Amino acid sequence: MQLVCEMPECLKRVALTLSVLSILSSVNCSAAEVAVAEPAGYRLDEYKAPVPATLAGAEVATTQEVAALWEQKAAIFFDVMPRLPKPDNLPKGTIWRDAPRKDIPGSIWLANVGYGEITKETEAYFQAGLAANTAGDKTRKILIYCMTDCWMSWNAAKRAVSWGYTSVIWYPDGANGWERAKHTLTAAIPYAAR
Amino acid sequence: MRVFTNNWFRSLARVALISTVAAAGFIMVTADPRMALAADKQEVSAAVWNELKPELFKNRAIKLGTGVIHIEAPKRAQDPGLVPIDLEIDPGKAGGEIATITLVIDVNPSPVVAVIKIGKNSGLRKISTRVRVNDYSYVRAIAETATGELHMAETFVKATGGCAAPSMKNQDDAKATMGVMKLRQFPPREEASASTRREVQLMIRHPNNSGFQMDQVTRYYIPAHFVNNLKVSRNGEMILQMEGGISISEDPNFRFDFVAPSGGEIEAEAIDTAGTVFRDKWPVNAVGL
Repeated sequence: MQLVCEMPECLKRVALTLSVLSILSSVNCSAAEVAVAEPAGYRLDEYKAPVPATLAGAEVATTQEVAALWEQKAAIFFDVMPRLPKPDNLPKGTIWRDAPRKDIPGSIWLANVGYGEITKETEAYFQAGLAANTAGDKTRKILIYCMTDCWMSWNAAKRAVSWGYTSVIWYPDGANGWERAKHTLTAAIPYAAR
Repeated sequence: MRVFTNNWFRSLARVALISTVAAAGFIMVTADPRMALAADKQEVSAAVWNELKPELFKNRAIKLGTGVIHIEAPKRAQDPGLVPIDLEIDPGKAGGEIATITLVIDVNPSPVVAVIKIGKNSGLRKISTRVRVNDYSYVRAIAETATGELHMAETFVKATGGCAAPSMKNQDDAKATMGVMKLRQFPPREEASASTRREVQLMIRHPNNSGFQMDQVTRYYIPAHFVNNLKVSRNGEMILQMEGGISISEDPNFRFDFVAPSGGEIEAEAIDTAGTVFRDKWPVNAVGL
């Protein structure tokens, strides 16, 4: 399904741009001009799709604002990009390669915590990851992201809000928004809970 | 719902584009980040292949574009969990019969899709199957001749999420019919002789769970469980043998040709990662059936 959404984005922009006769405005594939409403609960599927502009209980940050937070070390950065786990029963000799992930330097990568519904183990991993990296202080500024047009970060930030974190910042443009603004990304490995 | 929306957008876009090709054309060409994305992903895929190649073939030379092997796949997949791949070989252009074909999808977490051994006297020239593609990637087929030459064909496929795409069936239903095989025989185009070329399609009911599909109720990953060995023969003589991984789609499906006179039987044996063996056999149809 996400393919269908993905393919005509640029055509959409062109079509919409032309339809309002502002041909000269730049064609920008990351901004969603079709407003997406916040659902009451978590997004349960089709995660790779346009996201809402807001998240109740959290602030939403632009790349520029995030860059300022990063420079001032004013927030703790959490990457929630999902990762396929290696199945434990593959035949002997199967070649396996984890998909490489690059994220914002200094981030803590909590993989797979942004699904709409998560197992109790994943929930415990997410909670422990947040608690350990904020020293148990739920008022600390935490910033949650994954990639552009991905609901995983929206879900994860919403989850953090529901657990009583009071300074949650959601960064919808994510690692690729960061990269588009010519900031550096570095190779990441998922956080291992102790 | 989203599909309708997008179709609507697409037709709107088409109208807008047709009416203002001149105005919009340069915007598309100069400002489409998707093209840049595809180019980036081709680079990523190629870099992965450069690391994989020595693991699979040491430092042996692999020839590209020799016409010994040809690969066909959609440029953009409709369903990333079910991407059709057609392979064709032309041993006449190589220094000997083709002994194996290795099918690789660079960026899949388990990149080797299948290694297919071809029966020495089978006459197999074509084989098609359906695969899962996890992200934009080159799909490559490497043919190895009996004398050790390597020939490659490659094609770039745009798809995302194929490995984790949920099964189209209820897992209980899938278990109930697991291992059921069907063989469809296409009528040969010529009169029967010892060298009649026949085309068949072998369909195996199996969820072929990749290990990344999530149980929609419990939210746990369904353990990997797939057909990892398949042998097809005629009267005991091998036509093909495949060792497959998690990238072969649900309900594995192989269409291939071979040369054989009428009579005798086609036998199929599939073994899955749980060690379960499935067998079936069918009489070779006479011409014209």
